[in-house]
Amino acid sequence: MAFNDYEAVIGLEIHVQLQTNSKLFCSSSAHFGGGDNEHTCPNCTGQPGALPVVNEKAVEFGIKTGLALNCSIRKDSVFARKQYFYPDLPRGYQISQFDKPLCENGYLEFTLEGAPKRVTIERAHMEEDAGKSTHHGDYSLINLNRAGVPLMEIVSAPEMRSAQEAAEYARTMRKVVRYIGVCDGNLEEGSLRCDCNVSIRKRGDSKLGTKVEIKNINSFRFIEKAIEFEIQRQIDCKETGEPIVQETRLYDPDKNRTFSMRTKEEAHDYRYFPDPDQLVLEIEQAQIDAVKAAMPELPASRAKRFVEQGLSEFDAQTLTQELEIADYFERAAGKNPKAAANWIISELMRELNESKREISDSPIQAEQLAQLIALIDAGTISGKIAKTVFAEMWSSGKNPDVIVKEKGLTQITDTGAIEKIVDDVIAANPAQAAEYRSGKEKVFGFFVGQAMKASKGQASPDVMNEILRKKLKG
Amino acid sequence: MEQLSLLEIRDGVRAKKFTAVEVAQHFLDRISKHDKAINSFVTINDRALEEAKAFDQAGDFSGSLAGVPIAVKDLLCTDGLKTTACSKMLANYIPPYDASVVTRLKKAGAIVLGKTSLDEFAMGSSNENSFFGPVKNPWNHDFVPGGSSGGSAAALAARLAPGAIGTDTGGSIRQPASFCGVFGIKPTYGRVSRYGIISFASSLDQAGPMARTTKDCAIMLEAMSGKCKNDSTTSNEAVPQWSTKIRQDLKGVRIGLPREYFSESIDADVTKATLEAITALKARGAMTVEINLPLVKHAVSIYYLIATSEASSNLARYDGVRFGYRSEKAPDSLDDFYASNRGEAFGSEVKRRIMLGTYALSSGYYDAYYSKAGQVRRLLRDEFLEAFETCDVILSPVATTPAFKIGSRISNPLEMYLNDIFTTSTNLAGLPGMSVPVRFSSTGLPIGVQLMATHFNEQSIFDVSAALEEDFRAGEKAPHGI
Amino acid sequence: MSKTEKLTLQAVQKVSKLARLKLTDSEMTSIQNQLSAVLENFEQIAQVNTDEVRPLVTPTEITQVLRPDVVEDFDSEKILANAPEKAGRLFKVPPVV
Repeated sequence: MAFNDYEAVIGLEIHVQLQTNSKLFCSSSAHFGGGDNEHTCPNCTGQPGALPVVNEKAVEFGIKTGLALNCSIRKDSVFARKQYFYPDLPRGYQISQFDKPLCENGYLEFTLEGAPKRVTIERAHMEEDAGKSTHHGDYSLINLNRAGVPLMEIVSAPEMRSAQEAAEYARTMRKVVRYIGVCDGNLEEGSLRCDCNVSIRKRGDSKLGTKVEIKNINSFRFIEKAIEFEIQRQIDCKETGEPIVQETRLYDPDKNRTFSMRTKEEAHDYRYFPDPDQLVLEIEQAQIDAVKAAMPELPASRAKRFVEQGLSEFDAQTLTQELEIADYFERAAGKNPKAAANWIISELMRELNESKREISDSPIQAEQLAQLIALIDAGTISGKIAKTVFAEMWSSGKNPDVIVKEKGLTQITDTGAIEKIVDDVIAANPAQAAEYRSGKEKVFGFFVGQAMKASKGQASPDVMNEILRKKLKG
Repeated sequence: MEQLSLLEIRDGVRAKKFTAVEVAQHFLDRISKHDKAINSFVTINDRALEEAKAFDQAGDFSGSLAGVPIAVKDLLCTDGLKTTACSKMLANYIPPYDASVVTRLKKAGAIVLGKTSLDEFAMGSSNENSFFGPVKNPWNHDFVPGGSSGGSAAALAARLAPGAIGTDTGGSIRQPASFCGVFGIKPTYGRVSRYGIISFASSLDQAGPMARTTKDCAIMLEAMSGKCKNDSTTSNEAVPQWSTKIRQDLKGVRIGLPREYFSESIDADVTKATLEAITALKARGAMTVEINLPLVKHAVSIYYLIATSEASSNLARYDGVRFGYRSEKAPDSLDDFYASNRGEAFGSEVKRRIMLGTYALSSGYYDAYYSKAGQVRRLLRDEFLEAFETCDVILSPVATTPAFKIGSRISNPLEMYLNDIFTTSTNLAGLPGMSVPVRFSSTGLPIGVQLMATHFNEQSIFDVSAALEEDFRAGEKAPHGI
Repeated sequence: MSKTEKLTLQAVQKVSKLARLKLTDSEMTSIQNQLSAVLENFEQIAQVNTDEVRPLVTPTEITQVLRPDVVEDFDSEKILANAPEKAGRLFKVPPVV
């Protein structure tokens, strides 16, 4: 991409749906799905006289999110009304936060192509979701099941410089909110939604260019592609002297381009004012401390700990990508974390990918994998046999010791038994034995294979090698 | 029976002198006989007798309002019973739930007779802004009953119900109570749940009881008050049994007289009523204290900014999407759809206030208007709280005049607004305020005085009200022909 | 705060658009006059010194109580029954795009 002497300025607004049972301001179910307008009540349908009462769990999740993003938590945050008319907005205003958000001044760290990055979080505030409209030509239909579901809107500073950086920021954000258990991070169901603000300017300029917002992109890959396209489009505009309009655009993944959402962007006047139906949201230091104390370990710190346990940086990053995998690893690690990491990354993930399963549906439990590794380390089975056992575990879900016992796969370490096998193999292949003795050491591998075969793979490779070498030399 | 107080009716039901069905039937008969002339009811509860029967059969008369029929302002949602706010917008709206106040009153044994008229969305002080036509003052049908709870006040004065519920945002209980010669109290902000009461201005609205005696008001307020899980702005403050604690003498009670409230141009009969009330209280051992409330002169200005700003937002939900009026006209656009639905269904006073509020909150004006009004509001409230360190109850007129003629002020909203001068500051400061009938004007119209106390001190108001009630007996007289 | 000049008709039209209120020409003019008068009245409070004063919203001291995160079912049929127009259990409106 020819960026010439332009630089991109990118800021992200990520909406994270908090996984509470009930909605932010009423007792209707906040769960995805349900029959049309089934998850509704007087409050979330804006019936006359209905009033909002804040969900304490949503506030706790809000604080948790803020702390995970290194924000300061405001002790007197204020819910404000953002007023606009739209059929999926039942009260004619969205209850959000304006000048006094719950969380401010944080940051999110991640690595991009090996280099550490830190992006400033300007604010993270609580708000309710709108309902859903579907369009059918000459009419539209409104479902309010989602209206009132709690969201955190997390606003980064406009300080990212590339599409890759923005996508990595978004991936890391998803990882964090999933780790702390406030959001399932499901992009398809809209649990995590991303709006990107993109502008360009001449390198060295301090003034920001005209900002274009790309809304509702539902995959990280598309975030990257949409921003890449948008940067190039803006550069082309500049180069050809076409003005860049401040507008909202959408991304079309099929055509890999962004397009303008509305022809004329009306200047919004949201008339924010503090919601008089609610009190100032007061947070006590004790509550912040309690949330902090119960905070699960965040991915970055977890990866660091894995490296300390002897894992490579790459393995640690791979294993901490998803919370469930990291948890699985910790349970499987036992006394040999490195082996557990290898088994998970090479064997288990391959099987999972092939069968399109999540690790939570793995037929092999982490504890079973730990047992398998312990059997290898104790010398009960060889690494080779272990692969057979693993395959059997995958298909039957049985414990490895049961499989080893049932199939008689225990490693033979008895020298006498192995000597007998070796004697038989040498006796059956006199020509090769002669070759070896004449100096062609390559034949040694042939004997190992034959002897292993004869022992049905159960012979301890170390013991067998030693005996073979001794006997072949004569 | 219609001359009995609410308390007497309850005791009669408890003593089995009459059944709840007999009581309800009696008042329903009176409504069908007298209300054509007054127009105080918008909707009659066609299940009232059924509910009374169920109450009689259940046989539990322990509730504080056992078997008592009440009229409810048509601003409170009633489950399955049409609730209109007297607006074309909600002319056919059937709420899916009961307002908390209604739930509590029913729980105490009350039977809802029907829904009473009001100025559309409680915006007005004459009940002329009702989609269902003006309400007549039972004392003289050429005159307004006051507003916005005009229907409730008129129904009480006409003995169509022994108790009624009103709401008060800037005087909407107290002014009609004064105009119709009944008692009405707006409790401390946070006493009574607003859940299910169609919002006008959230930080000012409170529901309260209206009745023909002090004690009746107290008993109803006891049933209505208390923390509500559906309204964040209700207080945890304990709810006293005010009705059992009304004191017999007023020795040592300090009555505050705000200098500012007596300098306005006040009707001679109103002044007379106020001075007589002061004299009576002094005779009972109360003492008077002159107080200063210099910011009160700004109350109406602040009130209109805050009330309309909040209202412009609270009324945004009336868009014709999920309920309410929808224009017959095919819309050109989504904006046109909204503008037609709202433009055709809201009355002129409502539109005027939405316009003012929208303007005051719009970009560039927020700080100058809403924010500034909120700042002065704090200063005003603090001024009142300070005044209550030197007095227990503040006494003032309720309105500058007795009831005025229907149609006489409708062309000049500003003049109507100025009528709210004595009542609005009570709402701004969140104080309890009550209208107590004292005497009649030379033309035979009732006049009340206003009593205010500090936050959560309704008791002092009830004490003084009971004394005035005993001395003047102004609530006992019934209008001619009733 | 500077003295408010009389509201222009254009300003009133802008507000009516923002408030989604269709007004007749005569309504527009009468509101223009009345709003100007109310705002002029409000000018008086400009002189009140409010430096460092926080705007007051809820006028009484009320302890905050939040809601436990518990789902309560509601009979949504009663809500849908008031819909001016619907398709199945969905609210129907003119096209929004």
